[in-house]
Amino acid sequence: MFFLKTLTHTILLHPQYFGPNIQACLIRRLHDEVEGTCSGRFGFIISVIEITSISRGMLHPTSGFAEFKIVYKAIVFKPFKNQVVDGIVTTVNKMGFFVEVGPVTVFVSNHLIPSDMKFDPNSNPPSYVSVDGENQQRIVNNANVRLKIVGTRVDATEIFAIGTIKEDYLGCI
Amino acid sequence: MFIDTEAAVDDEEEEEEEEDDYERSEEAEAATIEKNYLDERSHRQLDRSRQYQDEMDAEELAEQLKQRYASQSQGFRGNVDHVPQNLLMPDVKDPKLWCIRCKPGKERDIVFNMMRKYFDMEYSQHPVQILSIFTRDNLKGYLYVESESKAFVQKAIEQTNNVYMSKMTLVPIKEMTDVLTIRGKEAEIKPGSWARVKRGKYAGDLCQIIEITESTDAVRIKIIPRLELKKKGMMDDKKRKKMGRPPQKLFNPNDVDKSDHNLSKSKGYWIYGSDMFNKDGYLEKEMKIVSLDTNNINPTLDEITKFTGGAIGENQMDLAELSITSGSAVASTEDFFVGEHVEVTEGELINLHGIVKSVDNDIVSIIPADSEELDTGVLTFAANQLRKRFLEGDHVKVINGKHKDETGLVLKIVGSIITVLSDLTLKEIVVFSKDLKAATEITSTISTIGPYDIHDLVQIGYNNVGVIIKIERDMCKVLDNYGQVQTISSKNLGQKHNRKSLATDAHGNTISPGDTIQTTDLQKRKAVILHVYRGLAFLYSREYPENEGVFYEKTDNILLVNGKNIKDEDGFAKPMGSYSRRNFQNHNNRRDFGGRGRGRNRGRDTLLGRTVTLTTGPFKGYLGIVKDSSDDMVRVELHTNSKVITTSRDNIHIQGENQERQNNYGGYSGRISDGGRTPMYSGAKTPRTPSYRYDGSKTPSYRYDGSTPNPYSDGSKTPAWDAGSRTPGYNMGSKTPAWDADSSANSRSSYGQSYSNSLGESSSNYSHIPATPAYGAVATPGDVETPYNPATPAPFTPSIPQTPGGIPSTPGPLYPNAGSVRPTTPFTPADYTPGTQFTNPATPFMPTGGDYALSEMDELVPTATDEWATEEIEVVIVSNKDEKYNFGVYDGEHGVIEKVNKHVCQVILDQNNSSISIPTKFLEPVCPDQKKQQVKVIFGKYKNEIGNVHSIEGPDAIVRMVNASDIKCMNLKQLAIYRPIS
Repeated sequence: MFFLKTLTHTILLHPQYFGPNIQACLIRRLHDEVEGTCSGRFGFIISVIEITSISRGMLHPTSGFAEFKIVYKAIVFKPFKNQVVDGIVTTVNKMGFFVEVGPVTVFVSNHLIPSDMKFDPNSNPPSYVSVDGENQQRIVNNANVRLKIVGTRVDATEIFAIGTIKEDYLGCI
Repeated sequence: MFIDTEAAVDDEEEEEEEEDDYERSEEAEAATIEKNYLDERSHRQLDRSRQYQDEMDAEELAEQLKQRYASQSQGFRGNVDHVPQNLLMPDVKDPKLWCIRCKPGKERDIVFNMMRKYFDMEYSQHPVQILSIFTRDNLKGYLYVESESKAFVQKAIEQTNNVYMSKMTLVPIKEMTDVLTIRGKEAEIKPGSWARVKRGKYAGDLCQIIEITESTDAVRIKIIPRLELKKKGMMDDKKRKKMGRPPQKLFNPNDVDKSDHNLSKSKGYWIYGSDMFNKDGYLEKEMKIVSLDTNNINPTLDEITKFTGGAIGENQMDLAELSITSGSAVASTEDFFVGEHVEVTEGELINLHGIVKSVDNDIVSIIPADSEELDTGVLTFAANQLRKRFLEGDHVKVINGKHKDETGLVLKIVGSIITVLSDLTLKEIVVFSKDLKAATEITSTISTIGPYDIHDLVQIGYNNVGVIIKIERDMCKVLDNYGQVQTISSKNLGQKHNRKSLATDAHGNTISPGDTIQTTDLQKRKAVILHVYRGLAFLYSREYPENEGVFYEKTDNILLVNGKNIKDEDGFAKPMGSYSRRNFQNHNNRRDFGGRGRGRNRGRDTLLGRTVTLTTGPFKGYLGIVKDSSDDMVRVELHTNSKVITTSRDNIHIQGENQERQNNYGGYSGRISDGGRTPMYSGAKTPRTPSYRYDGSKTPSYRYDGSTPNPYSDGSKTPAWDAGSRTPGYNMGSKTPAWDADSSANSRSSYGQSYSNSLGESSSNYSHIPATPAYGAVATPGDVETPYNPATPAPFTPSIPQTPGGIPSTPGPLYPNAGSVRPTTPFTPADYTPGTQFTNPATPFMPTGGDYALSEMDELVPTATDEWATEEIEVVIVSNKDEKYNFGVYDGEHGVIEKVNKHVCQVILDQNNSSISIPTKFLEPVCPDQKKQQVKVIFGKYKNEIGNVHSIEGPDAIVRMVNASDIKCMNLKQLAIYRPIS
């Protein structure tokens, strides 16, 4: 789920940037340092939307670096259990397949794939194919898949999830 | 009322007794008195009983008591819990127990006979004087008779059949209890339950009971056969016996030799020899219950899986059932923890789930999940009625069994069998729910795996090493020397590197594992060295979140944090005089270079890995890399043919270093302030690197500024210098006269003097210029420590905005992941560009030149000296930043060199055809800028050759050589416009 979240980030700025463009530099640094990172609490910071405030710089006595606290608003993405998401299949193997849902990797185990879908090891690239003849679905690399997140594992720097397509309206889209 | 009174009396009695025994408090006494007064009847009664008690003599009393309690204990036998066990133990006064042999299988008959006999004779003259007779089912051929004396027993059994009176023994008192002890809870044998074969070919094998025979002492079991099929040509019996027991394998009639007439089929069974196999290939046979172990079977999931034909995925439901009947999936109280989510698996409240509130003995009390609605409060269950409840997607940890300590996400739940996706291996593991617990953490607690410990340096594959950063069961994560984290099974780990290796840090301090260091990059991480491997130091810092705090850094990019050996990163924080050791050391190194070799300093010889030119001998003029050095000899690998030659230190000349030492160099006392300048350079080292990222594009323009003919000042004006010029250090250092002295030096011969004369003042700063990453990035892969390393070729090509980064080497080395780090090869610019690891690959500083550039660089080096100057090339007169030639009146004028005279050239000016003498440092060669120009190669292998520009592509020109007829691709900087003087 996406949220608009007000967050704070602290930047240590080298003295060489002290100058007229310091603001631009700080903002650039903020974007560089923050976007694409993941915190277990808020999820992935997708994009900085707005800078709310930049504190006055505080010089560090020994290093000469200046510390700035930036309050900003960002779009964060955090997957939740039972959330239905769309993603792109990246890897398919006999254990299941991996789906990238934005920055999150979701694993769909073959236990959580409908029983009419079978792994076809002979296909190239490997795929899951539904045996059902009339409405044949095939899950291969780069296929678009809708899945439901069954569980998440949140590390400090990474979110991993497992998903299921073993329910109505889930699967290839 | 009656009851009340009685109760009161009892109270009274008790209190009186207590009064006898204990001194009581006055209050209590008063209360008693009051009570007695109120109830006169009981008072009198008490008096009477006391009197009566007194009258009885002690002996009688004792007897009475004994009787009373004896009878009591007898009466309470049934309620064993409330009598201390040791009171019930038989002692000498009790009847004795005799053990008599009898015919096996007749025990029960004898017991029944005896019972009938007892009742028959009970009222006769000779009653059977035994107290009891019994037999044990599991002890064939023995009878137990309880009686006061042996004679009674003999009398009782004398006319009984099948009893061997001669074999009668007294059971020792101590063992009497054992005879009647019920061993555990005998598992009830019922069809479908599991058992293990005790001995024989199938010893230890799991079997399933199909039916129990009528005699109840034998069962029919199903077991995976261990059949030894006779194969054709396997006639040698002796050989076969040696083979040990055959493996478990389902019987397949096709395996049997068709000609083997032992095989037959009846009623859906295959009969082979004396064995019967059902259609699935299991062996079915009858076995005595005694030969089976039916207690504590605990079949593992593996065994059950094997029993179900190995298809764990397909019929997991069956498996779940099987495992429940086997009891292995049934939880016991130890498996439950307070707060865990459980559900009821049997009984009326099946499927109810709740949270464990407390666990004691066999009872688990739970609070049902919706207790408020149900209004049930706490419910209690036997442990085996419950199982842990998990939901798909839960993060769990395995707490028992083969997969102990693995964590993962629950994928699938079938009864009490749960499939978990392991976090570490992303493999599925199947476990019983009782062996799981909810877990939030992912890490495992193990810190050793086989011979390996966490943070060990191990060999991975043929030529990689890595540090174990995390261990989880049999897998561990290893950070390798390319910065990649690999997950490797312990089996694939190579040998451990135990050797304690040494290395030098950016300032030449010796560092070894265990030292605390600080990285020289922007982050200035403090860390402890775990290992030093070649040019890499594996570091550990708690504050570093990635890779469990382990990271690596080139040893050139770290500084020992250890007080006096350490030069402050920014230098200026320390007074000049305090560069104690390092400066001297560098100075000494310097001397070595100068050929005045003294003892080698501690640490790595700075000469190692440098590109040098041989100055004497058969290889004079050849370029090579210093591979090894001793006090006065060096081993140089030649560029041309990879030959390694050994020569004296005096016979080499470091590339880029000026061959003739300048004269008036040391004449300036201000040189001392070099110390002041040092920090500037070192300051440039780290914090400046990122500046590159942003300001890199400035560099070329800088070259414009620096387009002075004095290569020295150019050398010093590397971008790093520029970038760093805003630091205080710069001001300190560069404003000193010494600095000017540098650049204004016209004759340089005193340089050498200053080396030898002034300790530490002249050389120190130079010798670590190269350590600045910026510097390395800019130019000289090989010549890092050259003081005057004028690697910036800029002055020659003011018009070509080629970033310095564009010059050296492949991008690979800068990226640890690219797999081509060559840590020890000093020629890799990566070694000297620590900062670049953190640079965005897209920055213009990423070298693109390829290997070609590498070698080219070596050739480029001399341009900064005066060596490029040659006759008949077009030059332009330029001003140095700090000085002008003849007040700059000739600036920008073009001309042709007529004659070269060491550092002074005779130039014919285009403007007025006049010939003037002008120091070479104020001259710059004019690079060709269009096709078909005639050019002269001004340095490199083809120096002084003349050619025609075929085309110009970026920094390179394609040149057709006049007398070689082939086409060469050359850097523009190597070329100058050729204008023959007519």
